[in-house]
Amino acid sequence: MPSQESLTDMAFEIPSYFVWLVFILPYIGALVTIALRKAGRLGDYAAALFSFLSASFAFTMLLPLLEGQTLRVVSVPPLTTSVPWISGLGLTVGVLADPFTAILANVVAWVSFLIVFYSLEYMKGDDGHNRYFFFIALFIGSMQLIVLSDNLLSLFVGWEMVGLCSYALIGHYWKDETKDWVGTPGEKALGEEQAYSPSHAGMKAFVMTRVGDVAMLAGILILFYYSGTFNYYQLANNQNSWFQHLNSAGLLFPVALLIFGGAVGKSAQFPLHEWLPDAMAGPAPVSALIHAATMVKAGVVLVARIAPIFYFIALSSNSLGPGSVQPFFMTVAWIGAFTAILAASQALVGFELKKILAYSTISQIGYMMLAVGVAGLSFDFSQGLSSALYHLTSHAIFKACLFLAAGALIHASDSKYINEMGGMRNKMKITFAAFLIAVASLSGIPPFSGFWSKDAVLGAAWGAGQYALFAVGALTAGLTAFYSFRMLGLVFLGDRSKRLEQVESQGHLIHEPSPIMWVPYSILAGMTVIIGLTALAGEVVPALNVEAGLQSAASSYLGTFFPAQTFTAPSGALDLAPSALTGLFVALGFLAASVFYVLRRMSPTRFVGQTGPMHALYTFLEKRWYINALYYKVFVDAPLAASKWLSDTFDYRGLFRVNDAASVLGVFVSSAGNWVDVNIVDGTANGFSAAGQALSRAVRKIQTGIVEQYIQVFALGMILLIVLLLIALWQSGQGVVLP
Amino acid sequence: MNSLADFVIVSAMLFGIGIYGLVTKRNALRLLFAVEIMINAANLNFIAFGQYLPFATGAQASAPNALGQTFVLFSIALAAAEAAVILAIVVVAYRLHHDVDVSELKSLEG
Repeated sequence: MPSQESLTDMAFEIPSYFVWLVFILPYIGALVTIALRKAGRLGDYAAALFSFLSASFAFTMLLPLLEGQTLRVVSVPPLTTSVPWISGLGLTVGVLADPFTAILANVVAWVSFLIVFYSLEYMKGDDGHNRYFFFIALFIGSMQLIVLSDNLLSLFVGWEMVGLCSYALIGHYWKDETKDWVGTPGEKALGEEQAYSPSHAGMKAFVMTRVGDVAMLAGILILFYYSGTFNYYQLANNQNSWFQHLNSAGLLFPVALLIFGGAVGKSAQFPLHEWLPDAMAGPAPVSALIHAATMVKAGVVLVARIAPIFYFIALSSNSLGPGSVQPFFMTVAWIGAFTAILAASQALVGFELKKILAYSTISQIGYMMLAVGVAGLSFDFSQGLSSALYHLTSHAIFKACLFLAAGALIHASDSKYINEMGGMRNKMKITFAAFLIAVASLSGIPPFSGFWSKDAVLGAAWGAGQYALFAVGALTAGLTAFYSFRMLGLVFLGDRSKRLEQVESQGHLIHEPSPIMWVPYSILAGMTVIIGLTALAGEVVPALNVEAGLQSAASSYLGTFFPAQTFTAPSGALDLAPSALTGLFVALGFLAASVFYVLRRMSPTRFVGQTGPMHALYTFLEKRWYINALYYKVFVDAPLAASKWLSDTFDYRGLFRVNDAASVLGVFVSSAGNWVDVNIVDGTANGFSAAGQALSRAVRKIQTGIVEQYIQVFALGMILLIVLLLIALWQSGQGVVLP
Repeated sequence: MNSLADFVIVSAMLFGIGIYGLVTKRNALRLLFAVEIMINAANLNFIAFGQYLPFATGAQASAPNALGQTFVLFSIALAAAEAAVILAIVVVAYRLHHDVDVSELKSLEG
């Protein structure tokens, strides 16, 4: 690393709000898009414009790195790199600006922009285009928030928002017309339907990633409980000695695993990988952007943020040492490796173009997880980390290219099945060239970018002494080469399928899409070549060595967190043994695919046969190892059956009876009340009035109207009174003395 | 014949005659006579008690009390007015019913 003095001299300064704008601009773009929803396609262009602006600001972060300088961010009040957020907890939210983050942000920004540009044509005429561009812009902002956040909490906010956008965009064709379904309707595994409507696929993705997200939130909160912070720097400084406390509580491994759970869900790693193939129900650019280039990489980003913290604190801790976090890194590496081979094997037999690419994506992300995992198992963390970043970058580019080209192919051929295409190389030359480059890159054929990045990952595994992991990775590379060229051969080579001829006879001519569509994926293919050639040149000219450059970026990133650590100078030397072994597998895969699908010397159908172990294996792979069906059995059917049983048993037989009894009781009680009303309350009232009537009837008889009688009574009464008075006087003994 | 009791007894007899008249007779004019007799019985009582029950205390002690006689004068005036009203009613009743028998005039019965 350069000394402090030269660092200041050479530093390329950008204002801190540039970094903030990278994720704020797409959010503004989303709002503008929704505000222009009545203005035709104006909102779509607004989304593309803001995406471009965001990418431009991201590019300013990259400029100094390209010139070999150090990135330095100048704080410009009031927007510093960190501003208060939740003051009650003393939380701040901020952005990171280091070479590692800058590269990530640029990959996200530029791939996103190209895809948004492509979408302008692809989504033309779609009823929901405004909704589509709103969610795309929202997604880009949230993805940049994940990349640029300097703490776990704001990362989690972005994390959940990309999940929402993913859900909304997978279910973009919410009318669930049969042509938008993913999978072939009627196809079954273990009696479970294997084809899903877009809205079902969206929900599946949402629910499945939520499993990981909940684990991740729990992990983050436990971490916060012990450390009192979400900030990476403070975590890296071992605030409150959280590492030791967590370790003594026996929670170190569980917490790391819980946080890793979020990455497993978002990056579609085993055992939460089953949502991604079905997420292909969304539009092709969505698959390219969210489910290949960016969102699914969020898990890798998260692990790249968290794993070094665990690794280096363990390394610097006297009592614990790196061994205390080895189980965690071992888990990460093996989950990555297993996912890589699991998904690659499923891609071998797929016929839906986008689904093959989805399996491939899962598999390639497995490589990245493997790289981060072996980073923690080796002595040079930056090598594993940089190889993960390398593969992330090259994969984002070539896989986005493949998906965009696939969108054009599906649109042109009016079919999502590769066996219903064929012979398209003549009609779509540009697409063929781009697809070929991307496929070669994916397969790991030199000199394309995928070769170098995959080699870096496997070299890191070899270098860490993890030969078993390396072997799985190398085998997967062979499978990758096979399925990549199988896909290419079936789509572009050979004769046109019957279906294509039928489609063409109906007047739907196969032709190249508009430049708005082919330019983005041609640029991506070009980038693949440029990165690959630069890396090739780097073998001779050290200044152009991409791997070494990325490794110094990773070292610089780690250096900002752990200034006390020293990092070995990157060698960048190609270790020939792992490369040769990997190359052998790749060559085998390529040859097998050539025999079956390029040269067509052997029929794959005859090779697999109708019975026998090959056919059994084929079915096993085609049914996605029965994992998907099993999940549906256990997590969908079983709860449904249980709730049906509960409803039959408790609701119908139990609760409904209670309900009936309660109503009968209610009727009885109210009739008793009615009886009281009628007989007692009314009776009392009526009794009073009847008594009054009877009394008045009796009394009325005295009122004869005969004056004589009144007078008689009056006289008699008077006499009676006089007599009583006299008696009273006599009784009292006081006589009346008259004068 | 000079004791208070004598006057009271005569008064009581007059009252009794008046009552008898009211009870037994149905002719409105006779009833009027009976009422007049009863009023006069009361008047006699006023005068008798005024004469024989003088002021108990004060400067006029044991002097005859003129208050009773004063009341009687009012009473006679009121009786005359009453007789005029009753006679007027009787005349109207006769015009309406051609009769002065009160038992026939029962339209006011409740």
